[in-house]
Amino acid sequence: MVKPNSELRPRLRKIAQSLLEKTRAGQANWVPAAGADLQYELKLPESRIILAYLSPRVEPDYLSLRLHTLSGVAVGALEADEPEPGEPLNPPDDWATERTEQEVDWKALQPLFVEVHRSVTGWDKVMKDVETALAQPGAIGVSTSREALPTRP
Amino acid sequence: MQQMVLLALDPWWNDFYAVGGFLVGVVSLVLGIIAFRYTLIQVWQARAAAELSQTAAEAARDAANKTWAESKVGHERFIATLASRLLSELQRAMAEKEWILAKVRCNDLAELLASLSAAHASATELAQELRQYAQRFEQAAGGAQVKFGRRKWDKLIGKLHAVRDKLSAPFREKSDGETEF
Repeated sequence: MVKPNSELRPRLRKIAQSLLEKTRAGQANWVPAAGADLQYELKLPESRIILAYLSPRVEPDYLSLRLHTLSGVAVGALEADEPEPGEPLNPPDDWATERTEQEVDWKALQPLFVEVHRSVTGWDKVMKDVETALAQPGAIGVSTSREALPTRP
Repeated sequence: MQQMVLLALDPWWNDFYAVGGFLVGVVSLVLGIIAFRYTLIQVWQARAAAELSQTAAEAARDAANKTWAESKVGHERFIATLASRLLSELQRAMAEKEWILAKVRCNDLAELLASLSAAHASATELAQELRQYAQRFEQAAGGAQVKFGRRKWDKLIGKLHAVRDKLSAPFREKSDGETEF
């Protein structure tokens, strides 16, 4: 995990907050990142933003917001572990401070990821569609004749 | 004038041959029946012997299968007993922050589980996970600050306890000869 330096951290948090507002307003065109689950990308004229939810096997899950140049060079990242009980092995002396900072970062990134995931996958629309259909009386579902079913190539 | 020679048997010989021929026919019939019966007995005996040997082979195979199954269960019980001790030591090492011991016990448990992996697919995954934790403990033993997924660790420990409990249980559900975890 890349730690942001103390100067970048507040700016990245602010960026995360602004991205959340833009996404909620439907003004951010997030797209799924190629070849990766739970990773989304926002392309800007001179940069790219990558938001990812990562789940290492023996480490806490974490969220990552990375800023890249168009050529792919990482210029800054805000990353936060999912808050967990306990502490790392051999915690540093300033662990309590770092933990607090991590929690602030998590609170900045977690709602952003949820919103981006919703806007890209459209799961909320699917849920609404299903719930609306179930609320209606009578049979539901579009009847499809056998001939119209898709066939395997 | 040519005289034709007539060969005729004496009536006694004539009767002798008629009765003799009849007796020979009867004796032949009796001998044929006896021979046929003897052949049938031979066939029955051969079939009985074959069935007997097949039964013996099946019994031997059943005995071998039973021995194999008992050995497998015995091996699993041995693993359960050993794993129980290693797991306790691992948890104590974690609590005491003895990272070297924790690493060693992780690898020990991984090896034990790997010996089950032919029969239990999930054992392979657990063994791999344990080896990754062993690497983390090794890094910690070197003094490094190591990120540690506590929830994932607790989940792994829970799974290991479940495996141990299943292996040491006296009666287990079996499916296709495999113990379900």
